[in-house]
Amino acid sequence: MDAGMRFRVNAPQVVHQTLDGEVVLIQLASGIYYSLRGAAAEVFGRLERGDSLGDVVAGTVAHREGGPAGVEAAIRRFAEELAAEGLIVAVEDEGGALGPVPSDREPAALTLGPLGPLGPLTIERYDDLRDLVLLDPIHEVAESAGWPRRAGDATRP
Amino acid sequence: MASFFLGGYHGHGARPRPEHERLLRAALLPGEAGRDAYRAWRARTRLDALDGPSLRLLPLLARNLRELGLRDPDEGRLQGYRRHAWTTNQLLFHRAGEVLRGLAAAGIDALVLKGAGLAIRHYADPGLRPMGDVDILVPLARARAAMDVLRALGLRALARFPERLVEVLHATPFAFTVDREAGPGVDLHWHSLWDGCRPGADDDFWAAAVPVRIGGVETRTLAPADMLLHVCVHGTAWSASPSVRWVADALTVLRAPGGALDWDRLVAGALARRLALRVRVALGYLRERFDAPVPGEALARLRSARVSSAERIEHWARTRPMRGLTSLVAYWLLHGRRAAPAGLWRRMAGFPRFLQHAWDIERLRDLPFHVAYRAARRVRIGVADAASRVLGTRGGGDEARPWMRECASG
Repeated sequence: MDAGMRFRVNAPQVVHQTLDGEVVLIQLASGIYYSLRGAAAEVFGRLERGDSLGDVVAGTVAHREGGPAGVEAAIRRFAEELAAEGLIVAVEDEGGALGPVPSDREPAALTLGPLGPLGPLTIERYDDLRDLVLLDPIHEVAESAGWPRRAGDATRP
Repeated sequence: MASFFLGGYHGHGARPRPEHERLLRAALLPGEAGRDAYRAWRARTRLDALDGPSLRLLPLLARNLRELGLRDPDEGRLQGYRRHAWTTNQLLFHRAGEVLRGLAAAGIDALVLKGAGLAIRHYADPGLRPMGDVDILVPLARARAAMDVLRALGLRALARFPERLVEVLHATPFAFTVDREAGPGVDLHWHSLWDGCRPGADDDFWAAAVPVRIGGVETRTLAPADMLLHVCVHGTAWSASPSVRWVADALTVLRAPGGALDWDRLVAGALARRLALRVRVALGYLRERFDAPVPGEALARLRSARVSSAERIEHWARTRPMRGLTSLVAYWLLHGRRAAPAGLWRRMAGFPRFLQHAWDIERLRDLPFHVAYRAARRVRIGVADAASRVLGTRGGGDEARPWMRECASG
């Protein structure tokens, strides 16, 4: 992935919303539910608003502990995973080629969360949305985490 | 005498029950008023024992607690309920978009009413307004064609003779699935209100409708003043499940940024529909209990409107359980609204046929059996209610939603 690449959410196939810092996404065609928390939600937010991959890396490195190489690799891998899941797509320039898009916006610093080491960029994926929506969100879920984690489900992070 | 009509039947009609009102205040009010209401509600409440109407307010409560700086001991489940509401709404919007696309392809004009219009246009986040179905209004003359479109898209009418209902009621439910146990997915309306079943009753709503995008399809919904009128009239009518969220809906419309509400339009709409009493009671309640920004002048104009005896009786019948004699009174007055120009004898002669269609009965000669059956069922429900009160049992939890499985299948 080129450092100048920018992305957008793959709408209308994908709908998403940020709820109190957590990003939730649905692939409508396949019925897959995703959750991004912490650093993953932060980085997704910057990719979503059109920051280039390089801007996201630079902003993160400047405000986080840890080596630039590790941070850059983690963010690139995260963006690749989001694209592989079909949640984001690269923005095309006017010529139709994938690649950098000029922007008149200054890269903004990450302002959310503590400025410690970058947390894990985890994509929580739930393949069984058809069953999950039938789950009683009060009586059949893990009390501390709530829907979509089922009661007794210890396999999720 | 006036208090008899305006007192407000608690629970299923105009006035929410005290426990619902405490939750509404906790979910909607800012500052100390909201904090006090939350503490009072929480001290008497277990999340596991909430009824359906209370559950549907949890997303708003979760958001307001954040703004009030409070943490609920069950915060995980509260936030989870909000995620669930957002997800199920998105699935419903997606399916509704297919329906709207199908109607447009058939040249049928449409606009969305109630939950979908409110969730997308008025609530800050569509997940704050849980929904069980999407209400779609089509022109009266295209109602039967719209039913054909819905069937062609795989939806199933829950009524046996939905075409007949066009002559007597305002809407009929369709399910996204062929499962007999499934709940409705689309309420197809040809009139916006139960209380407005006559040709041309919604012309003003259609003329002022505003754009909204649902499921990727450009459509329309009611203008804010019309939406508030609709919320007040629909919300304060009795329903089997107490419709407490009309209070949240109305306050959300009233608080929406973007300019003052067109109160002249709302008052004119209420008067034209002979619903001044219902709207006045609803707005008065919002102002009294929630400090809603309802102008005194608008209330005064509604208060000074002439309210006929029929309207008072209708208000009484529509805000109490639609059972037994109350049900017959409400249907008689509805029939009267439709057949207003006809004389009393013609109206009476047409009432059996009206009931046959409204109750979805195949043959007119079966009507007496249905009346007897309904009376017997009413007695049975009364006995069950009494037993439930004596034993102290009460329903809890949310409704089953097997239709969501179909929605989620894309």
